[in-house]
Amino acid sequence: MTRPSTAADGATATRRMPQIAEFRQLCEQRAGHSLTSPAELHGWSVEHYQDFWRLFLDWSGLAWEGAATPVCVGEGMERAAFFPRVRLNYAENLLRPLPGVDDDAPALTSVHGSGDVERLTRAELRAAVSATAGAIHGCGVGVGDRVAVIAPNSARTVVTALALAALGVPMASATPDMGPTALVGRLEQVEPVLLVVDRTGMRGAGAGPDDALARLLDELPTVRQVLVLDDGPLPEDPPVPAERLGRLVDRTTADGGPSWPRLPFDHPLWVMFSSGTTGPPKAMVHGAGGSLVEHVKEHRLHGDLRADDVLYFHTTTAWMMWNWQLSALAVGAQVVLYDGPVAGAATLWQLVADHGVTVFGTSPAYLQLCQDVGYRPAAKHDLGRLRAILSTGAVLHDWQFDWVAREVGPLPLQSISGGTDIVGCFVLGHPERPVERGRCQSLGLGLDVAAVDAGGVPVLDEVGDLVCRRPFPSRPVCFLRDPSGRRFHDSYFAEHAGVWTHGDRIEIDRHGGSRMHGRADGVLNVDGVRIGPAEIYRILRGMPEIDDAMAVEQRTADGSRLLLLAVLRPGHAYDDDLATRIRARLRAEGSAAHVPQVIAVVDELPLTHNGKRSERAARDVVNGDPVRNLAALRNPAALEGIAAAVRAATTDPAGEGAPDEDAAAPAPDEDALTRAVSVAFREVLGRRSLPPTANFFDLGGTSRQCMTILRRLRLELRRPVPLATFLAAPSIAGLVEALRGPAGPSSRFVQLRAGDPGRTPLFVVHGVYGDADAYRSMAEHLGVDVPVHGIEASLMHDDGRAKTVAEIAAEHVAELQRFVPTGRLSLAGYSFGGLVALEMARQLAAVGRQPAHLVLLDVRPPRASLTPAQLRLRRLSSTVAMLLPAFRDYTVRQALSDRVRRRGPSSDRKALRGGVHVFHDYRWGRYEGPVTYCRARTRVPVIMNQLFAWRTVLPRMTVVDVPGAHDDLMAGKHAPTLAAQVTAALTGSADRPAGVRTRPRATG
Amino acid sequence: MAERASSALPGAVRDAGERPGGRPDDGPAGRRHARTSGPPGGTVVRLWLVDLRADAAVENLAGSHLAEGERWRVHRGTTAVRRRRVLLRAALREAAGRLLGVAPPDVPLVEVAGRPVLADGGRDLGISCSAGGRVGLVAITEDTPVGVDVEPHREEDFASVLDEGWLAPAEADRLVTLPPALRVEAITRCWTQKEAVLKGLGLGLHRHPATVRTPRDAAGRIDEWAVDAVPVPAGHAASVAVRTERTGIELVIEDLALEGLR
Repeated sequence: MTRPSTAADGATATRRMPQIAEFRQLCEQRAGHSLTSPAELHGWSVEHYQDFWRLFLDWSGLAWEGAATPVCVGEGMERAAFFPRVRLNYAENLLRPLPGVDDDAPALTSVHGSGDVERLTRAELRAAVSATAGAIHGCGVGVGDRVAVIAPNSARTVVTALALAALGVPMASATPDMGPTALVGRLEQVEPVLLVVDRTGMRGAGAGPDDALARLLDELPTVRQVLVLDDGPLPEDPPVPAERLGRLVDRTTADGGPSWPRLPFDHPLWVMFSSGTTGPPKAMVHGAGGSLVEHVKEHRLHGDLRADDVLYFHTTTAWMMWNWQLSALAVGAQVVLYDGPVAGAATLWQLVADHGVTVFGTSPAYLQLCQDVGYRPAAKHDLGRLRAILSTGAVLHDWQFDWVAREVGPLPLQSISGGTDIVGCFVLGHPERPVERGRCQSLGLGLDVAAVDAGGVPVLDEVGDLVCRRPFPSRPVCFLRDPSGRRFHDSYFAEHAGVWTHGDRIEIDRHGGSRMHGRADGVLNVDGVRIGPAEIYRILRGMPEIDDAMAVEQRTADGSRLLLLAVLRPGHAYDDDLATRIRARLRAEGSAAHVPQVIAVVDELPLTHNGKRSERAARDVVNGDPVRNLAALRNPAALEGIAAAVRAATTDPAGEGAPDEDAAAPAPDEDALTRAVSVAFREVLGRRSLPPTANFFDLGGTSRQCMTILRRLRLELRRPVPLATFLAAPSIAGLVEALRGPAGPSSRFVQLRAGDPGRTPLFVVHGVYGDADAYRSMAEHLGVDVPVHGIEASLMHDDGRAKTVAEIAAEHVAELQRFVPTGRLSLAGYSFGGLVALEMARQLAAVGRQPAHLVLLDVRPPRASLTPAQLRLRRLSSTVAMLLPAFRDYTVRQALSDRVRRRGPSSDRKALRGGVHVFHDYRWGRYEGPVTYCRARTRVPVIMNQLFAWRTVLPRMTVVDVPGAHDDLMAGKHAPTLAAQVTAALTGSADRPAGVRTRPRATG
Repeated sequence: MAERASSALPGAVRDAGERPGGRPDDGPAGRRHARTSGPPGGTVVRLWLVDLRADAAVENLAGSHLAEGERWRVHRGTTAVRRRRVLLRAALREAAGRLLGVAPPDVPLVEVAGRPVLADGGRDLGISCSAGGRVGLVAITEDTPVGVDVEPHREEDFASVLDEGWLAPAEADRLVTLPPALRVEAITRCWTQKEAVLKGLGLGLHRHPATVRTPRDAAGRIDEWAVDAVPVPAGHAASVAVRTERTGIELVIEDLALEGLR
């Protein structure tokens, strides 16, 4: 299965000697023997980790002062501290002039979602950081304080972060689109004195950015000042002083700024968050020295990153990869930032091509997205400069390696994995090792990584817990609000005594290659965003229906999904409405990653004997794994309930066809909409019970049955359900959610052509089936760019009785007055719709809003409006028409259809027949406005058109001929000519269609 | 008025060997029952007929034809749906693999809007699949798009069908005059013609079927598409649509036995 990457080998041959080869020589000198293979080098680097880190500090050429000995002090892994006599400044190491690196070369390229690009050279970036450090220093912020930064991945954020690092002030960063609960849960532990914020995209539950900011400040009482990064108006009446950082920088005297102090190796640099299974997120303090040496080691030795590289890693400021990519400045590389959305497969490849990215970091999710849509990056973009792709955040599957090789090119695809806890990676790429599909190339040098079984015994080629057995510099210095270190101990050292247990599952081979197998504990990793179940409980605790909840990561074929186990309070029942509110709340208070894909309602959650909830047991059950800690559970029976609930809630109804009496009965508080949709699904699919989230097509529904279910839904709901609405969410829950929206004006008016909003809009009225689809071709071919709206409606009263033409028209007029309160409008209608349009025109005229134009498309006079003589003539013409196939008309079909329909008594047939009766029951009245009547050419002349009858009520009627018979008047083949006549009518040039330009007919 | 009765179709089907210049079967699996129907000289559509009444063993065998990353995508849904999808996809890979001369798992298929299309391979093949009742169909053309659809006949109330709104008025007219015994088949025929064109367009139901105006007969034209009936087992109707300026479609039909896959 292994396939050496020709790219990695080829790159080795054509590029300069990798930096790791140079460093190996130093190690070999120190070791006194050769370290030829990557595994040998790694083995030495962990056996002699003190020598390794000492050598690396020297070789790296980083700027520091003091003494590099002792390398490591403290007893055991838990208390080990590196380089206690070294002093350095992180920002200085990133921004100082480097030998061989052009100070005027781009250092930072900040691409915005708007498409704007900002570029800063190393010199400019250094100056900007210096000035910003001066401004922040001027606010009285210095060593001993902490600052929170809520801002996107942009140059302003980087400058702020580096200014804080320059001052020795630790920073916690987060993204503006995190909800207030998630932000407060993280930042309140930081006790920041200063909040730097970019409010773009900031939100709270239904509130604007400034409301969200106010709420945040309310919950962060330590904040003394707010500095605003965005260009919006300053918040009104803030509880603490608020100022623009840019203004402050401008006002600060340029006297070189404060000095950048070199501080102890472990001086706090960042506060980062990783979710625990209980309590608030862990607030981990990372030191400047540990972060710096780990990152520079990874960039130079594992990524072979150099000053001529351009790095883009797709990340946000809430993820440790943001901090990681920042450190690439220390090797002189250019860093590309992007704060816009990923609009599709093209977005990031475009970025890579546009900015000459040489090393591109992304996630398995993005690569899978590209693969799923059949995207071909190499065919679409110039990726000539790209030399490596990094992926992290989740397990990268074998087939994704194949896809990258095929569609991107023969580049090394490095699956890397580590975590916030070490602000770096345990497994990485390696410039000297081949890439094997599905595997990570190398263990991190200096990191004694192993897979161990439940007893703590190392295993090879088997999945085990990922542990690190020797001290390393980038562990957290401490946790905030953990004075005793208890939480720190419990987080990493409780599972396997004396070694760091990371919480990931890994399989390692003898060459140091590895395969990741996801998280080991209850911490959820959703698309690289780590979420503590505790965060989700905290958000849901505010809901009166929820007694308890547990979030579990469920393995799926393509990764994992978030599954929520919910225990309801007595007296509450689970329904789609509750599900919707749970999801909305998690989205608003947390983030998109907090929203579960599946919600299963259970009676109880598994508890251990000392009353702690066992995520591990729940996860094992949900994934169908043997439950490892069954003996530790107080209520093992809870697991059976969970298994059953998850089975019921997930899409795959394994027990297909098995009767489920409980599920077949509607839940007591199921609302009418949900009930109606459920009934339609069950009847059409012929099943007694259906999971609400199951996809119609996954349940065996066919395209043909789509039409059946749409009809069923229309009858159940008494309103049209557009095909597009159904296809967008073809499940009971999806459809209920889509239909829950306003059923009034917005669903009555369907845009058929956008047109120029400054022109008089044309409204075309539904046919006898209530929909306006028949007008699409005509609207497309109009030679005048007016907006065209179809009017759609239910033609029945709630009691199943057919509405009269006058009633239908009155409803439309009322809604139309709301939809377009003022201005001119035109109306058109074919057949039944024409009659409704006429009645609407009359009613509009009566309220002083006579349409600019009324276009009747072959509308036959209704019987009730004809005199006995006219009726006799019409019957004669119908008989003639039936004998001449080319003259067959609507009446034939109608008559025969009616004959068919009369055989059955069902209410829906009655409703359909009602349409015909309604048409003929209409009694017309005089309409004085201008009317254009489009007459079907293929017809027994004169007698069947009965235009003389029309003229009695439409004194200003102009008649034009259009091709076709009545029943195919609207067909695509006639659309251009018909559209030309309608265009002429709308532009006041009826009967002169020769002067009207028509659009060429669209193909397909 | 009546469409060409589908019972007349088997007569139009003959063994490839009987027809001068019949296309040789280049498939490796040794089942040589290719038949042709339709006028010689028309645009050639190759069709493979799959019996979807397979057991779990055949499903497993078929599953081995799927590419990695594809299995989990077809594995959603009920047992029956999953089996149908696995078998049909395996058949598509087998058929396309024969034409491209590659192993079935290596056929470069990608999904676009839920429909499989050939990503690459140097040849511009149109592909389309359909499953209905116990019949699966794979259609492949050279250099032009194709759509295929098979449906089992449904005993249904005609007024309800009319009310579903997918029949154009002229079609409804045509159908209403048929004797009820013929009407069921004609409705299925009409639907499969529309669906075949919509699949050929790559739109499926994203364009309303009522906007596709079908011809009077089982074979004919719909705008720039030529449509024809595909002979399938009793109880089903199937149509194929191919974008072509030529008048006819020549169908080369072969049975594909999934239990014989290697």
